[in-house]
Amino acid sequence: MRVPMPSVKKKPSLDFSLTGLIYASMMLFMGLAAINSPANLLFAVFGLMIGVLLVSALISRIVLRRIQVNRVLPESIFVGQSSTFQYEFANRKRFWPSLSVTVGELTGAEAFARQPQAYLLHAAAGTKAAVPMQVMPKRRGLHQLDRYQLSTSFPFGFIKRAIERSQKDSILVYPAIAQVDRKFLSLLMSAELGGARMKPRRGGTDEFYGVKEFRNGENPRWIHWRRSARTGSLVAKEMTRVAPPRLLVLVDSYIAHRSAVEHRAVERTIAMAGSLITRALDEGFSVGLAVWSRDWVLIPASRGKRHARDLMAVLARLELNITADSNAMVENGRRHLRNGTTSILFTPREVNQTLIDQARGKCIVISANSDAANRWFHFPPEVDFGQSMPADQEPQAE
Amino acid sequence: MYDLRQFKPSLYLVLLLGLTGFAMAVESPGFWGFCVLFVGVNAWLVRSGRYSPFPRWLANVVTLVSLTYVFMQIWVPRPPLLCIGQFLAFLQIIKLYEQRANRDYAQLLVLSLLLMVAAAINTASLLFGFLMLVYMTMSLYCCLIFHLKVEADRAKAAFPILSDKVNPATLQQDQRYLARSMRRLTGLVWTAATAMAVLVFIFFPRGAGLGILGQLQFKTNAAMTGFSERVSFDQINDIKQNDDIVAHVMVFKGDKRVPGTESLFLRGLTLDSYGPDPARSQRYQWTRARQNRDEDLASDGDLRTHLVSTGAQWRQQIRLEPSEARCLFALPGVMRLQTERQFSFRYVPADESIHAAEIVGSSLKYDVISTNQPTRPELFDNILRQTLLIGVDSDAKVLDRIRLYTLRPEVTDGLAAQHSRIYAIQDSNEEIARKIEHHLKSNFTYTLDLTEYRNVLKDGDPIYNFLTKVRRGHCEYFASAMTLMCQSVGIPARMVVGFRCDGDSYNVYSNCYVVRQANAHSWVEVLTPRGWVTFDPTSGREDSRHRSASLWQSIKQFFDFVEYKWAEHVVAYDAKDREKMLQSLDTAVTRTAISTAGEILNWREWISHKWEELAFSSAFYDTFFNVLSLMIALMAAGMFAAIIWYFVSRSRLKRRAHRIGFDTLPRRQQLRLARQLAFYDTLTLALHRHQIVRQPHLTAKEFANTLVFLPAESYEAIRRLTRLFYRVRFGNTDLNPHRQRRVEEIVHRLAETLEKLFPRRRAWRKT
Repeated sequence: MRVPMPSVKKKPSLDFSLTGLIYASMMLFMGLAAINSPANLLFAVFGLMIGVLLVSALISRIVLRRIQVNRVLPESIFVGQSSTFQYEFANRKRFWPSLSVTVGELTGAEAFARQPQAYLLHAAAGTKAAVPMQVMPKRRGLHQLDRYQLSTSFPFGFIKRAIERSQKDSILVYPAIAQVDRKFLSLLMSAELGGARMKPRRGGTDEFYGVKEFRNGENPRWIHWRRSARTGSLVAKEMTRVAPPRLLVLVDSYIAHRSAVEHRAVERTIAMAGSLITRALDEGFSVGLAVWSRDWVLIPASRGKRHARDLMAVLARLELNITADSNAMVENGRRHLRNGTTSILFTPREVNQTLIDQARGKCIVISANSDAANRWFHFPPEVDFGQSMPADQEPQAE
Repeated sequence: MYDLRQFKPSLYLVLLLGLTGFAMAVESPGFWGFCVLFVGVNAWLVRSGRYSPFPRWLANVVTLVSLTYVFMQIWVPRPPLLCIGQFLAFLQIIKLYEQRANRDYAQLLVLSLLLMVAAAINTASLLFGFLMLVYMTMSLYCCLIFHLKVEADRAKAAFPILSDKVNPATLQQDQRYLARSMRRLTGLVWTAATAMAVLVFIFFPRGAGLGILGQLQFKTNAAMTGFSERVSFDQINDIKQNDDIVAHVMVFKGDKRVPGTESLFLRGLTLDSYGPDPARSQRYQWTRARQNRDEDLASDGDLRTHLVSTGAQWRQQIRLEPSEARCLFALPGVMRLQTERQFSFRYVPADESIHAAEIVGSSLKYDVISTNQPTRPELFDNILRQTLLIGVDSDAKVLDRIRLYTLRPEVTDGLAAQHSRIYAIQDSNEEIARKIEHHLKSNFTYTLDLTEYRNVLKDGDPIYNFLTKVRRGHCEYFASAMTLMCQSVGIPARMVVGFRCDGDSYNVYSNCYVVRQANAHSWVEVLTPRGWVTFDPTSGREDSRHRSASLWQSIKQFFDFVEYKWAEHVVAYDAKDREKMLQSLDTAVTRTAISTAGEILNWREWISHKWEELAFSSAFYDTFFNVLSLMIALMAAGMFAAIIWYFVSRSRLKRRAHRIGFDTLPRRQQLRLARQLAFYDTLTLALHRHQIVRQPHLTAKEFANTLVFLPAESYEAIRRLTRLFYRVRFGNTDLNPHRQRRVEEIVHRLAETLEKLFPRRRAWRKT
């Protein structure tokens, strides 16, 4: 079943508008009136109207000449979240301005709910102007923006002119992000779930860890006076730092029959995984990822913004998985599980007993359409999982 | 999103100009005032924020009322285009009061344009032409802004952006220099449109499709007041002077132009039978008694009469404006008449009047040669008159009563009583006529306002009442009275209706008499042995020689002259003018081409002649050798200088690169950067002159930061220049020559500021 694409309006390079046709009719009428009447001034009016028509064709051409367009794309955009692109217009003409120019993307529009279009009111000669444009991404993945069209009907709306240009840019759209319930995160942090342990490290303020030599500049409140008196030199207490919980997110993206329902479930699964990754990293978790994308992809747990981008990029570019099913995913996850790491398996299917048994004690299994998932993950209403897969992974006809 | 504030003021201005143009065309100040009032109120309401659009039903009702009014006007005989124009103006006003959206503004603009077109059909005055030019310019500007507004509104609806996502600085940047851009574009559109208008106006064929769709324009500039082919006395009004121009007449006596020193009596038609209208007994009027043999001349328009001039010939070049009259005017004694274009007319030898076959609907140029002398009738007519076979056709009763008056001693000193009734043409005719003329001039008063004597004049024969009771009136009364008085005593007389122009009518700029409706006049011609002699019995209309014009009169004459030229070359531009223009253009181009070719040939011959002279002279070779040697030496010196300059500039660039600190880069990059970063070198040298030196361990940015002790402006300038330095050095930015010059100027200004701050004698300072 093909997902409907947004309509991409490609305007002809030169066209008469309805206003132009009416104007041309009025002009002919004026010519007839001039021929009919001996009033010479009507010939002048007729000539004026012809001149206006000719010069409007010329001006529409001038407006589109020597105008350079640059896309300024945001660092990250998410499915279902409105984002702002910016188009920078640089008018390279020395004397003539550019007015009333519309820019519309011709390729790459399938990533968005509507064809991205922006409108420039005015760019004076030799100046630059920036125009914001709001887009609503609807498909995850890497999208290429290439051909775009500049069009104008300035100065009088009689003639519409358009030109095509090419400039390659790419934009990576991440899966939709949901609001994750805090309770779910607390659940992940609990040490009672299999495998999650606090690994004490020094450098914190929690519990006593040991003593070390006191250095100038450190907080004198940590000086261990008794030991210092005994050793004869100043020593300071070292306290533990609670190591953040480690998570390993397993994403089951297996699709058996390529139906729309399955695809929708898989997309929701991916989005849930992405939401958890984002939220957990914000909370200070170390998060890793295991997923099938032509082969097994394992990213060890880590933290930081760059790591978050990497994880989300992998999820965004996940390919169609018709090979590795849930059992394989669980098995793979178990192989890479480390001590102190909580693994969470996101699956699009209903959780069955076998799966639970397999994961018992080692893994939390969350089904995409379960009540728990609906309770813990709240997606914006603009997100449509039925259309958020990349264009080349669309469901097949049922 | 975007705020195009210029649109509404320009729209209102365009509407006002359109309404003014139409009011000017229909010559109705009241209409203009009415429209301006409503437009002004609307503008005030909009500006003060009190405006609220009419409900649609109310606008529809008002529209229907206006339509009804206009229909009623059509039933009264008014030109249809006038009514259409009024309706368009009403529509505009109604639209103004229910304006809501862009569609309404578009309708207003279209209505305004249609109104101006209707006005352009009706009038051809120069002032309107200027107004039209201003209107076109403003409307072009307004349309450009309107289009921008429409597109911006459409984009706002189609591509909405949350207001918090839009940077106000970005929007402001888009509207920077918008006014300048609009001016440039308006100038381009105006220039192109005007050029095309002129080309179409000059070269578009004329005349072929005239009237193809019927007559829609206003009635032409008719002689409503002033000259009329009908003379009757049933309407008694306060006659107002009418300054509409009837004709421009250039007069030559022999070969010399008459400079406004002569009075001209331009004859139109003659009337010789007076009496009551049989249909309406109270209506007295003049008619032509009989029409003799008429000569139809339709082919070449060249009229030749039997008259022969014994004195100087008076040549008149007349340009007659469109009128409802069918007369062509000329001085008495028409010998020859020729029209510029194909025009059929009839000449009546009996009274020398010339009648057009149709109404003069457009300007007509014709040349007339006259004797300007009393003319004698043809022999046959003369005999008939003398033998009274041609009698007087005026009403006998009227003549009887007027004879009684004429025979009074104080009128003709008894001469009239002695006049024989047997022979019509006698020697005493002229003397008697002179007496009558003198009597009327001396004892009667000229006035245009006879309203208080309406009842008296209408009671019976108005001329008799004029003579006996009222004793005041305008030229028709005077001429009628004299004519009847002459006829009553058996003297052949006729009233002539035409125009009289004195020196006051002469325009020194155009060197012609400007004949207006106000110059319409009636006088008398009496048949004497000399011929038909002209008499003007109207009192208070003395012959006024050309007097030097006052300043205001001179200004008025100048405007009349400009208006005349406008009418002649623009309004009356027709197919013939177009052909002349094309011919003269063709002739000029051909002549230029031939003369240029001739000049080129002459030059070639001269050069080859000189060359032959030189070639056979021995001195030529010496000179040639010297010149050649000099040229070679100069070339060699030039090359040498170029090489030296090249190495010197290379060396300078290398030194500059070394000073700035990138002499480790590849040679090519060094030279490129040295050229681009000349400004930074100048800056550091300027600072160095004042002992402000960058330490080797400091980067350019760190060095700039240390200059905080300088005035804020200079400090900021140095920081900006340093940022530019980084962009060029590391950012692959290229400065074009224009930008380099601007940056150099900034550096020079900075150097001057440093010079003022730190004169050279100050103590050494190092950072």
